[in-house]
Amino acid sequence: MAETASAARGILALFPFLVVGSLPVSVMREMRARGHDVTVARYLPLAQGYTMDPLDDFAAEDRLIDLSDAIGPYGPDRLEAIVAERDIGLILQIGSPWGYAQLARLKERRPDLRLVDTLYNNGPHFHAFAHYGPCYDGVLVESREMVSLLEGGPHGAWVRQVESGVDISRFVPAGRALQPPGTELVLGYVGRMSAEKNPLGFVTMAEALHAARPGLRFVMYGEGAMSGEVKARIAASPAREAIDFRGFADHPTTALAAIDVLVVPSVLDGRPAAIMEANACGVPVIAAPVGGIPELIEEGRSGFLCPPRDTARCAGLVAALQEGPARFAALRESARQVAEARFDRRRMMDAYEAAYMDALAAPARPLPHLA
Amino acid sequence: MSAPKLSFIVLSYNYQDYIRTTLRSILDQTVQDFEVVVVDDCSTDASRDVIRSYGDPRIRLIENERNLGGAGSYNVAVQAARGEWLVNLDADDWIAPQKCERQLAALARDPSIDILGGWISLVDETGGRHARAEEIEPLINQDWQLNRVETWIGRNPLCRSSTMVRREAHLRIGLDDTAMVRAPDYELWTRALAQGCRFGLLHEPDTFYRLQSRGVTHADPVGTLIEMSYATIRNLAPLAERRCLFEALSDMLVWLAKNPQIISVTPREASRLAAYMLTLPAQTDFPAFRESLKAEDPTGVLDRLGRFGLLQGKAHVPSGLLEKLYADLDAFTEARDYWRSQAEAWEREARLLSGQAAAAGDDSMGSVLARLGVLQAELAHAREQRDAYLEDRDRWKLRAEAGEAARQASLLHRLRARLAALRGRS
Repeated sequence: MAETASAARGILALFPFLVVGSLPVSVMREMRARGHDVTVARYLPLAQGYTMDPLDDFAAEDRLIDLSDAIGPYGPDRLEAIVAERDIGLILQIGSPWGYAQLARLKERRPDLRLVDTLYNNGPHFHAFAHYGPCYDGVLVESREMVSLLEGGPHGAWVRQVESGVDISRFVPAGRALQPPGTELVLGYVGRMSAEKNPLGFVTMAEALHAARPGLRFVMYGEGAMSGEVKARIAASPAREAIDFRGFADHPTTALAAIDVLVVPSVLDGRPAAIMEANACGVPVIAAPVGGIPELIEEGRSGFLCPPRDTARCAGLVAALQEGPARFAALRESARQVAEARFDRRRMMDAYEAAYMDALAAPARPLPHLA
Repeated sequence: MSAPKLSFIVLSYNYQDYIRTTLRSILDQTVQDFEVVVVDDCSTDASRDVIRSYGDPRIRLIENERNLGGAGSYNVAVQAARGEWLVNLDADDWIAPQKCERQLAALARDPSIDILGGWISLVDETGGRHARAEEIEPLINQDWQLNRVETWIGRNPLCRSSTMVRREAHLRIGLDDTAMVRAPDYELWTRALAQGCRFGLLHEPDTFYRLQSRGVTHADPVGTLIEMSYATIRNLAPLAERRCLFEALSDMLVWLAKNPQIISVTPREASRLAAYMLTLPAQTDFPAFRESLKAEDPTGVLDRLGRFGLLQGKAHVPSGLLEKLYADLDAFTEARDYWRSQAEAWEREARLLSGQAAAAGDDSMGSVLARLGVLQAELAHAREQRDAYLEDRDRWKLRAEAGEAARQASLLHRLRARLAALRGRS
């Protein structure tokens, strides 16, 4: 019955779509590498503006499921069959809007299942969780900010923080030469072209800085639904000569090797990997103080917190770096040290694994009734 | 005296012609550890004499001093029963000899079940197979998932005469609301579900259910609507909310808004029912609920909410259905294009073959060629129609069109085979 722990050990991760290089996809891959039976399901074959990961390694072992035919009223039937067939004991909801209503219906059929949500920020899924939370055993978050938003909430699910990290052996300082005094810096945007990451805010900031210091250079890496809009905005900008839109980068290290300072102008964010990757590469960051970002930035050691609209402060920070090469060199070094001390990916993977195993070991949350 | 395993609950009211069959079917059960609690609700016929005539000490006749109605009599029986399981059987129905044995075996297999029902066989007033049994039984005898909220929205899939209820669970969830006439069973079952009882269903048509013209449920559809709404607002909707089944909540509102009987209550009552579906006020009992539907709404909030709910419910499209229709449409469009290209390829081949046949001068092929001409004309017509549909994104027309193209293609295919055979002979 519902109150006893099911022996099923399989894990099903529900995604909307599978983006190349995304953190949750790498976590699932690592869990498989560690010997766990993980099946990934997605229901959108494509997403506008993103490069998809075909997950051939999962498909080769029949661990990739296409749920695009499960839209509509038949979703729970399909999920129920998958759960039975693969001995699934834990379902991870990873940003799948479709999944919220479906999983509530599935839970009614299979009260022995554990459901765990993953919320990176307080965006749309956070709102969905506010409605569907009572079905969930737990929710995993990355930042203390999300813990404080969720802990003790009416949903009744446990909340657990897993601090994300990056591969610090792969993200290493590229040896980009320090620019001689007087040479203008390259400021970069590296991230999704989507509203919450605010790429247009970067352009606006670049315009203001360009007006003050015409020698500054700006590059933008990334793709997403807003790519076209961003390019059009640059084309119409008075700073267009100084802003270079480079689009999708084969690997973030390529982008990070081309910039001196990373700018993260997000309006809504969790714990962006770009900041950790930049620091690991010895690139300091100027980032908006939103979501979990303040937890990542060590002011003056790994970067600075600065709202993107505060262009005067941004300009001041850039000028200080520009005119103090020794200080800039020290900042680069300390950024790497911060990454080594705090952003190690292995620790994150261990924490995810422990969270999943704990969820599987605990009895499923019982199906509620009125009595 | 130790408590029996089973307590049959037989509600008797002017069924003198049927109750003998009912009691005989109980006495003939392959499980004999039972009592029979017969509650007679002031029958005016010879029902009580029939019951007394058995002289079996296991049959206990309780005679109501005044007419209590079905729900009131049921409560009397439940309170008097001593068995571990309450076995419902109305006085005009009967059961197969192995019914209880089969149910007890199922309960042994799944001890979590509190309420176990079964499929039914429909009989008429004479006890013969009902004339419409073939038509109606498949609607009733389905693989109902009775532990899901959605199964109970707007319908009662569980026939009381087929059920066996754990007495301890029944006492925990409470008795019937005696003010209810049309849907007390539905209220009881949904209350049981809401309070955590587990249901089971045996796919054995062991209950012979008499479909009578005097049955109370179908005599007053408006009363049934209001009582089912009460059960929904009191039990089912709060449970759906607790389980985060928001689509089910929406489906309940849709059931109400699209119910044909909704125009038979007053506009205020209709709007109030919808407002209650949205706000789920706590309910004490049915009479208070019934009265509150007519009450003034000094703030106007309930009226506004109810109006909004009814409008939304009427206009509702089930979640995900549009996406599925669009996906189907794409599939049908793809099928149509495939068959069009196939038909065109076959037509080209048929033309080639007919030209070859004509060149060979085979007289026997005259009629075949004439038929080919007709088919080609038909195909051209079908294609014209299909092209006219190209702008029309209607799913069903597209499907019909794909089917027509396939039929034409198939005819041409067969013709091609015949031509090939003839050519082979010539």
